[in-house]
Amino acid sequence: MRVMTVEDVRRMLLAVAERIVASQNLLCAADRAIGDGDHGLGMRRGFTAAAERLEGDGFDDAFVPFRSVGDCLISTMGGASGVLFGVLFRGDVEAESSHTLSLDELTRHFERSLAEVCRRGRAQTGDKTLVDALEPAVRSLRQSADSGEVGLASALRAAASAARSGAEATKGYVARFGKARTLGERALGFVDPGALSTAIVFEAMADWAEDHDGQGRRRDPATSSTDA
Amino acid sequence: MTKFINDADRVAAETVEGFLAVHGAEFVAVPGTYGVAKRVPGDKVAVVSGGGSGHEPVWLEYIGTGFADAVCQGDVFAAPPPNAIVATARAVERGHGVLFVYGNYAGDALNFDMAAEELQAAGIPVRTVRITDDLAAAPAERADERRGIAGGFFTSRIAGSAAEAGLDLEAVYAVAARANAATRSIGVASAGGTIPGGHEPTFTLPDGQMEIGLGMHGEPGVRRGPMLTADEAADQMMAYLVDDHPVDAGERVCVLVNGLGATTRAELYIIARRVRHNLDARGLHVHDFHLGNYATSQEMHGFSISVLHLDAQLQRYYDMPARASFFIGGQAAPAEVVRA
Repeated sequence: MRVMTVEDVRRMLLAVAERIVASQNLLCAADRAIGDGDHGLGMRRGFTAAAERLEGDGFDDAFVPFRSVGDCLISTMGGASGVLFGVLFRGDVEAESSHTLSLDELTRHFERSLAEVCRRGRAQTGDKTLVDALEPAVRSLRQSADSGEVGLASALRAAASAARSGAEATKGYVARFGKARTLGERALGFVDPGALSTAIVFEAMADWAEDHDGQGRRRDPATSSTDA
Repeated sequence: MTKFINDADRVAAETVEGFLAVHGAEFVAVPGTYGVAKRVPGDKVAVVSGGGSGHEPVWLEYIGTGFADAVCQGDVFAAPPPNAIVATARAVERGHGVLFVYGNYAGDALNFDMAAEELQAAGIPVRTVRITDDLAAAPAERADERRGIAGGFFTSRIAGSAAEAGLDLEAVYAVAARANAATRSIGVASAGGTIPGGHEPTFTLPDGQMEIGLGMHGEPGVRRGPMLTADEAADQMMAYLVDDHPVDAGERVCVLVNGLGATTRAELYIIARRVRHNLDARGLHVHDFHLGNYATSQEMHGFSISVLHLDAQLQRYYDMPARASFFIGGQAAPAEVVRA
């Protein structure tokens, strides 16, 4: 898959929303260990609203479904997660416009998202936040895009793996933000819930892209990792 | 803890509905939000506060004469979203700009900052004061990382009065920031509260233990140990307060002994008595002394002590008339009116 249509983007983000809603208990459990325990509830609320928006609206620009999801999360979730995950999807206000989405355009979108998340949250890698999953995912997308030889599905799969590794790595960090910050070294050994959510977002995008790679051909488990 | 609620998902909404059932003559709902606004806001800088539900009277009841013009709550212990804050601010903004006053928590800052950007993009100036009175949350050299707890009462009250005195936005901001910098608080608790619908308290301590410096959401504090007597606890906490903001004999202070939700007024009076002994022994002049539940965390059992170090400028605004649903105060001569 070299480009996604507007409809592809819409359906991919619907799949992301469904995956996050289905992950509610997992995310709450992760948050109970080092936070208030409500991360999964906020994410369910936000992505339920986002799914309704995606189902209801027609879009004529491939960036607009991302912005709609982001705006929905910001306006319905509240808390730190609402703004940060909203910005992750929305990117920044100076968004591009295109009828299709190439890997390079998708990469630029998430590069803007990363910059906005870092600016607003004042977080860097190693602070035990969603940045620890988002930054390696975006770096992976950039490498794939620059190589010029990687399709969207493979690039998203590599980004998802990078996000998952980054989320796992947060177990080794003490937190600099939120309630987990006050736990100090007691937060060691636990994954950051926001980083976990970010990994799930990229995995859901990769799964959708693989499932719909090659003119609607279903993903064949035997070949799904060889599309690059 | 079995609570008298209907539906855990409706607690934030029904709290606001109940507030308006009682105080609806003065205040009105901001549609689509958990916000309330004065029915008749003044022709002045608008003071807007907010934060997560569940700490009442913070922030829902920090509205009235000498307080905020509008407040916007989120879900329990969660910041309100930016669009709700914008709608709440617009309900009371009258062309003189908006001052945000809220507790220094990551979620609140993210959402209020985004709301400020939206208002500024629409041509409405916004300044922000984040409450940072909890000295246990970070050392003095990183005071801007401290959380906001009950001492926000003093800053809110002075900010509201400064706006009512007719100061412009920059001047109201400066007075409110000065009040925040002059306030210190420290808390102690022996048992945590439970979020409505939750099954576990936000923190648990072994029986017979207490923790000094514990946060409003159960954030760990600075000293955990066996329960102390009221006098011992008050003495230790006053030592922390004076250590963090040294005092000179003759200085004027305002004091708040605040209950965190489940503490009886008798306990608070026993604490207040010892606090007063401490203040008198240090030769401080107690300008005003408050006692009650001014900032809570569900049924947390514990209390906090807040001290505002008054100077002439702060006292001018502090002494203006102030009235909120949980509080009546201020009887001195009104501040000099400097409306342009």
